[in-house]
Amino acid sequence: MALAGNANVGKSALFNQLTGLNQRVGNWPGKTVEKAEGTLYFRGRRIDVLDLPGTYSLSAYSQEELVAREYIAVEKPDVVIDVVDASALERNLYLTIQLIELEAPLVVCLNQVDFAAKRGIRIDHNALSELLGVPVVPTVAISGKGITELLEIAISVAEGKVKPKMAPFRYREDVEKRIEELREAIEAKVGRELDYPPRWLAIKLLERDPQVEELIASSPGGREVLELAKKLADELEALHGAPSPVVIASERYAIASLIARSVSTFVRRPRLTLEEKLDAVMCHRVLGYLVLGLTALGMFSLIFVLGGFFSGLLEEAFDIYVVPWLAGLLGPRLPAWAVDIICDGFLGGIVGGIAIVLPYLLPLYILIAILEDSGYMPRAACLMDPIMHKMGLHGKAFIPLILGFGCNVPACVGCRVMETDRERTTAGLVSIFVPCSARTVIIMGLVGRYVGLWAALSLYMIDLALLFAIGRGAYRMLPGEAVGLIMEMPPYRRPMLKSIALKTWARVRSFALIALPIIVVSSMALQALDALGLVWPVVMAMAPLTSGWLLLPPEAGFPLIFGFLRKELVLTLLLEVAGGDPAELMSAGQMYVFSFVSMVYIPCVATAAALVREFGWKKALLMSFVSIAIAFFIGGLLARLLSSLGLL
Amino acid sequence: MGWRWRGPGRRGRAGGPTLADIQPGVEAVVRGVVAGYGLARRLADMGIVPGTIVRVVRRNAMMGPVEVEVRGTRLLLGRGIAAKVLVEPIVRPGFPPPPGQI
Repeated sequence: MALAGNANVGKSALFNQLTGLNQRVGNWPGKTVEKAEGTLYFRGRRIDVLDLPGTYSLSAYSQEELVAREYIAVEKPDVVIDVVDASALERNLYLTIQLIELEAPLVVCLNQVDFAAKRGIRIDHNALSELLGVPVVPTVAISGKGITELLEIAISVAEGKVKPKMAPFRYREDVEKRIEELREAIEAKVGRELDYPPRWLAIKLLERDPQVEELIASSPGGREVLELAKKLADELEALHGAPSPVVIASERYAIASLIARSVSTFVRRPRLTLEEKLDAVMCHRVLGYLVLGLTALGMFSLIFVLGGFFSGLLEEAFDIYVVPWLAGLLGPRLPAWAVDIICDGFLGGIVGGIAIVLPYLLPLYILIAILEDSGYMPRAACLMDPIMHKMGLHGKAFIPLILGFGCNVPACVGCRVMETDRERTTAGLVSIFVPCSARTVIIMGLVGRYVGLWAALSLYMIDLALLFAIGRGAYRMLPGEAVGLIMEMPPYRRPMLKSIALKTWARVRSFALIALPIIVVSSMALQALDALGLVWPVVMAMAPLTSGWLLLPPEAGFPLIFGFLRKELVLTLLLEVAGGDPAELMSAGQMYVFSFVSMVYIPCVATAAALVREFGWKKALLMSFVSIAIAFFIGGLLARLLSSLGLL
Repeated sequence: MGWRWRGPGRRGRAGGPTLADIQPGVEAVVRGVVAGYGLARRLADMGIVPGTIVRVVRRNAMMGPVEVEVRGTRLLLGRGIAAKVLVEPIVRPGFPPPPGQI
């Protein structure tokens, strides 16, 4: 069973209702598109449920759309549930029509009927079912209403007891004639053994779909079909004065509009006025930014206070109780270096990981999930769009960047929302410069405490300015044209506890799966190097860089090396090297330079791993190199500037 | 493709008014899209095709996106994209209402 549908229609809510915690999230092979699968037990049957990516269409525009249509046509799921938002029927039917053209065994789940009713829209689902030729079940996925009926009908469709009688939608005469001509040509020349239905192929060829053109070109007899398709598409374009995909899309929307209008009754004006008023504030040119600033500030100070408190508590508990206990247990039995590797390396890695996840990431993810579910994120994206454009990005990129303030790992993964490869890379590069919670710990713990709050804030300003400059630089250097923002503005919704919990859980788990093992392993490896006496020679070899260029004491190289593992280690180790008081080792100006370098110089291991996973080795290495080069270059300039001002 | 302050959003550049020129509260009919296949297809998939009636809900500050109501839902279009959508404003008596009434 596969779930298909637009974004923001409650598809994941339905998926969560069906599978609960019984789900696995991974990637589609070879693609950076999330694949969510789950299992459901219903009336003694075991049903595998697959949540296809949310799409508005099935053209080859994005990876998500390709994944969805390939899965439906090639893997041939027993039944496809098309989740349709009852309050935006026309737009949603556009996808439904394409699913019917793809000849998927379809059941339409008419979701959010309660919300539609609230907005004064009533839909006759029997009439809709009649017109579409497929079963339609009204549901409210978040509360679970109608799910049992949906499953019963889905099962009878899957078992072939109910045959959807899907008559293909007829297009306007001049379009229809060409589709049929092409379909006959495909059936005659290419045959019927392709996974896709011939009529669908014909429509896609008329739309000049590059993937389908390739598919046809590679099959025997394909050349002639392609030539015919080109000729027919040219004719259509000459006739309508618009690109052929637009001609076909207008046809589909005409059908969708006709169906939507004949089955819905508008009881009153669709939009709620409260929403209008809320939007007038949220998107206001002054108030909007004020709300955005206050939201961000409130969020981060809350997390910083909460996180700092709990993280301190956790680390202390480990340091006082667990580590001495384990050391006492192992001490007599193992050599000292082994104890170090296990206690400081393995356990230290786990503690460090947990000390980031629980206190900092968890509350941040909960807050972000609330913001996402309430519908605030698109408003924020809308406000940030002009600023993002300066970096060749658009408003949507703001969402991964916000995630980056907690941890850069989910930020890198979140860059998937960007449409093109070029924008994804820019967003990824920029996101590793977002000061994550670990870096905040360094800045606040070192500069904030020993130099002053304003100095700490100025570091943030420098970092954000740098981020902007790098984004602009990447925009100039990477080939390709900037893509503008096209985004749906969903209505405000009341966030639901279950959905927030599941979202938070999925994000925390993906962090734990990518980041935690890497942190632990590399933490052990560095401890091993240290035990072998290999770290200090490296630190000394770095001295020309640390003391010569950055004008720092050479010992500062030690925390910087370990900072690659986890940035908050920088602070802990600096305190260790300095014998408890960094003021003994460094002047205020040196602390400033040191904090700047440790903030920018390299993404931590976990982020590096996420970069490799999302962008491949080459780009990940390049991004890391860019950050190192910039950190040391600007750090040196900063040191020279401060020393010439007599501040070092 | 540097600064985007000027250029898009000005009337007459693409031959007639574009979605970026329409005042909030005004409805317009889409006439066409001045763009390559990629963008035209993307806009068409979102329901912006010739003949579609759209209503501009809001134009955001600093050349920010234009919010439009299309087919019962709301879309945000970057100003640059909105400036590529050719439209014909719908003139109705007493419409648009004078400022302060929206």
